[in-house]
Amino acid sequence: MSRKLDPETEDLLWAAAESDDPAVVEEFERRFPDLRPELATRRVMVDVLRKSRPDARGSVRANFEPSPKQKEVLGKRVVLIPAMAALLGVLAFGAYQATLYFTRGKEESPPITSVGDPQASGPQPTAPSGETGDTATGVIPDGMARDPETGRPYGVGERPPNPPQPEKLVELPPETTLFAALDQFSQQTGFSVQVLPGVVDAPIRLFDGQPGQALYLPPGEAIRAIERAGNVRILDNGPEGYLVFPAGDSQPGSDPLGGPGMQPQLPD
Amino acid sequence: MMSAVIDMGAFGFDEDSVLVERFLAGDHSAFDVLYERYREKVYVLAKGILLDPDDAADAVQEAFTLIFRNLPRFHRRSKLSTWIFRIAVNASIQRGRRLKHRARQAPLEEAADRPYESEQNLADTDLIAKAMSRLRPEDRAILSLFYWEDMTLNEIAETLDCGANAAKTRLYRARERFREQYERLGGER
Repeated sequence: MSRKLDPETEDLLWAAAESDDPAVVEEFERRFPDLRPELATRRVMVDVLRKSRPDARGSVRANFEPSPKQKEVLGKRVVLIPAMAALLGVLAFGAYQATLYFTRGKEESPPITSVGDPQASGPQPTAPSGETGDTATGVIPDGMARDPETGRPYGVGERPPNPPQPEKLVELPPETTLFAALDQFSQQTGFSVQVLPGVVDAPIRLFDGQPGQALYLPPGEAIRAIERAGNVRILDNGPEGYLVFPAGDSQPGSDPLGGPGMQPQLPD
Repeated sequence: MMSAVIDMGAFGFDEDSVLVERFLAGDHSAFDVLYERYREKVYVLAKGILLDPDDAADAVQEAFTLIFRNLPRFHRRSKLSTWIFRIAVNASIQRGRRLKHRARQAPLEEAADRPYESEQNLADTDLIAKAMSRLRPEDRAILSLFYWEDMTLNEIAETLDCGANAAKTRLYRARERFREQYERLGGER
């Protein structure tokens, strides 16, 4: 039995025993003459171990034959990869189409004004077919239209750099004429506005601001602002849109909060 | 028309990779080439671990079945040869555990098939086989990789999925245990 050696000497001994270089062996024997017998023993052992490498000739089947099942699995894989790619493509296209469909559906749905808005409690007019307005869609959450600190509507004073969802709000200039404001409202929301006889076009001031500034309001608030500034009465006529009366007209049952079923009694 | 002699090795050209690509594209003959190239090496490794030639031959088929099935998942993080040897080692060790190492005198049977070898050689081979049979399959695997497949420590580390230092330690311990058995059996003769 060999004696116990320190790890470093063990490493050197194995290195010398496994080396094919006679110089390495000589060097080891020169440095550790007392380990010559041990080195010789290990060299024989390593030599025998290397030579005892199993002979593989004739031991292994010459051809590898995967089972039909494995071949089938591999064949399926080759077919499955393009099939999966095609399926993913179809799914992606379907998802795109569905998104497009629902987005269009939303755009065509009636606009919803902010919760708490007196106009919101009443029925909202829908855009006549073919006059779908991109600007009158979606939910306008409370607080977006008004500054929570000042209570003033956004856009009064300074135009916001990025108006929140401006496409869903009605943009009004500080000064314009009544008819221009109504036309602007109609174009931006898609709602039809009918001006009854007796209503006179006149310059109106919607808010205190400089030219170039704008006021962004939800449709319900915008129409009320025009109503106040133009000194007219504007009736929510449900799906038919809005009716504009001269301010002096008394319209029993024409309360805009009355709902779409409340038909105004128009003056003779 | 331009032409050039390109040293594919300089560009990291690896014939094994080409064979893998061909196989993945559905060319099964590429796998036959891989099998021909590695079957003997895998057998030697399996024989070193399992000791029994029949078990080793079965392990080769098992390993190549796994290679066939998993080749699409070969990520080329290591050489194909290393990956094949890793599968072969694992398949052989697992097979050895399943078989609980039947005590067959395979080396003696093998020796009988080698009429041209000297008596001394036969005795040495027998001694090595007996010493190996007293080791754990994991030790036999690392000794087979080192002495029979001439792998470097880094290659062994990749094959056994461990670090180079761990591979060195494992090799050192396996070699010591082998030497212990070898000397003990040699002293008994």
